[in-house]
Amino acid sequence: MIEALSSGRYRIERALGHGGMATVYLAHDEELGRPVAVKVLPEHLVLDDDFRARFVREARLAGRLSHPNIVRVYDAGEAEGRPFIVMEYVPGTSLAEVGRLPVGRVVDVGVQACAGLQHAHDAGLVHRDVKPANLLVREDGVLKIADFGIARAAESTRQTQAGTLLGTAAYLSPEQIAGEDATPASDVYALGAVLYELLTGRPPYAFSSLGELAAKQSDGLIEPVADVEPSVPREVEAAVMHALARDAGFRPGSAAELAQELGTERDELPTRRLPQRRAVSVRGRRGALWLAAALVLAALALALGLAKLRNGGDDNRSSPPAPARVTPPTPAATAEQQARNLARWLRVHSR
Amino acid sequence: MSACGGTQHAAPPPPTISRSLASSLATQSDAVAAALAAGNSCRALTLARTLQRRTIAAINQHRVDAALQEQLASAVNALVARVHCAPPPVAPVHEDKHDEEHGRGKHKGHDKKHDGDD
Repeated sequence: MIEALSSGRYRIERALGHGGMATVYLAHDEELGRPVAVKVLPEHLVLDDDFRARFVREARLAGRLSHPNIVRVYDAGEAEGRPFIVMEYVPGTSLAEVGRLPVGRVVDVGVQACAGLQHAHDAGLVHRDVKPANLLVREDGVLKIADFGIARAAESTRQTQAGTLLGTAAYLSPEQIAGEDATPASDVYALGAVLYELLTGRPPYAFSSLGELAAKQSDGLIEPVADVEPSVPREVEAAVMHALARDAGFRPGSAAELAQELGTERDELPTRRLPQRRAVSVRGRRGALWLAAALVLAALALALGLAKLRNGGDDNRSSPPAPARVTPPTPAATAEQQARNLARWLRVHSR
Repeated sequence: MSACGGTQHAAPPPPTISRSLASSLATQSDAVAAALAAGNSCRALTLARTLQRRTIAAINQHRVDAALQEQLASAVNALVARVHCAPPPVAPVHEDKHDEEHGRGKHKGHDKKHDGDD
């Protein structure tokens, strides 16, 4: 494992997770004395010089973003030929690990995600890979969008294309599935798909191949949220379904507009816990109302002693525990051995 | 990302895949290895792609713990990317004259078959 980067400025402490195209480490910035997350590309992805350069370039573009709902990129570079990105460390969990959430909580994270996306879109950046795993929720409830710029760099490699599709197919907009350029409306669609899943427990479309997904996006109908979860207010369902319009022109005109649609009934929504958090900068006339509603609900939640994140009722945690770290299949010199290692890894991780 | 202040929480159980699914995928992966060991790279590629499709389906059906999805997906993708279908070499032709008369035709067939495999 790498022990230090950038001439010792970043001292690696431990691995936080392994993704399809990078390993994330918890590190300590020795100069500024703060914890940081460092994303390092694995060796098998760094053979392509163009990809390496693009990865760093996109990361540096993302580094220009500064918003409370976006994971801050502090630095990017190369160490021993392996590109790395130094980011804000977000202690908490991702939405991929929380399952279904109460309506009020879904709206809360949705509005925060909209705020971050709008900021990026205003700066001319499209995320392209909005998915639950990229939406991190800090322990105080603040949502942070991770990996701005990464998806665009990843598009230049065949391997990560496959990995990206695997991980994000359910959230890809019809235009992305069709191979067209992603736009801010694509991020709005992806966020709509995430919110749909948080409300219903499943993605908008069930599919077993990209072809099937494309066909369903073209001709299929999304089961209305309320048919799956009748407790979801009509306004929230309408906002989510609006974001999922197959034609980008029929979606909310911006992430801020989606936030407005989501926030219409925000102060009337059931929620188990609305954590204390700082105000979210969302364009629109309802920003102040949302802040007031958030403060009222946070006070109510504290008064009732409710510290549940999930809707299950049996979860008494004030914050979710750290997910167990999983070691990837052992690398191998040959494809044959790699297949055997994968088989062994699957058996070790079965129950 | 990991949570801080976790002393009040019990350690979460390690993420797992159901035994039946893991066994099915592992068997498929073993089959890929066996095909490679036998020198049948084209069959190995077909099997690896089937493994990839099954993995995608399992993930989309929420049959794989979230904590394992990326690991599994990236491992399967890496395997597929690493297996290359190399058709068996064209049998040597001993008569030069025969080669001149028919060699081009064989090459056409070879290319055609190769394209189809891709």
